[in-house]
Amino acid sequence: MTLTADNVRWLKGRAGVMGVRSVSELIDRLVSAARVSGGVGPSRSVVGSIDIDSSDPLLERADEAVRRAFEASLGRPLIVNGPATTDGAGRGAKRRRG
Amino acid sequence: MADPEAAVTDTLAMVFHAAGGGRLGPKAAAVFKPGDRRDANINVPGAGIRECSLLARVARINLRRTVRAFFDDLFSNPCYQPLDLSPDQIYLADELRFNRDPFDALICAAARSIERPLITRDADIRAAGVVPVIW
Repeated sequence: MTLTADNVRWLKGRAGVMGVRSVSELIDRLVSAARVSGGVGPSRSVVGSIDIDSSDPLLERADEAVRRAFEASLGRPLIVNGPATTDGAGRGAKRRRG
Repeated sequence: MADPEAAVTDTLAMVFHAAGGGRLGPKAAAVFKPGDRRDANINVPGAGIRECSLLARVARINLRRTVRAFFDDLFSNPCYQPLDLSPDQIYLADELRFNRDPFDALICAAARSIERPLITRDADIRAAGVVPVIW
């Protein structure tokens, strides 16, 4: 781990103020505090917590399904709402995205 | 690859892990197991989070809770951390172009961005050789 000189100096100062035995211990405390303040509570395992479609247990067709959904989204017409233009395109005209 | 116990996971590897791990390759399982013991560091790319949400949306997987709740659970273990999608990853993904999958290149770019191997069984990624793979 590499820290800037200013941060090392600050950590040493805080370690003295907080009465910890070392800068390492202070860093450990700071990280623990940051994790707690970030809303991270006790660790929860996700193992065995989801189900895979039994018709495709190895998800060999999953990429294709996602790609279809993705391409369908990209190909969806985009409704453009705006003032009418001289070429006749205007409110409600549909244009392809992308 | 300085730390062999650190890796980036692709979407299906993460899903297989969450489904119980039985579908993982032996080397992939060997990375996830230390992750559960908190001895490894596994990053989940932003593109993988999105792909996982789409898999749930097209009903290929059932997360049994919202996407947010699932990843809140996963990231409650400090060994699993999200890897933010950066502009540099997008530029690199655009340059890779080894297949038409919208997520594969982004996930490879994420692994390359932090110089870690990618846990994947994806044949296209393995064949492309754009990143060291674990399975």
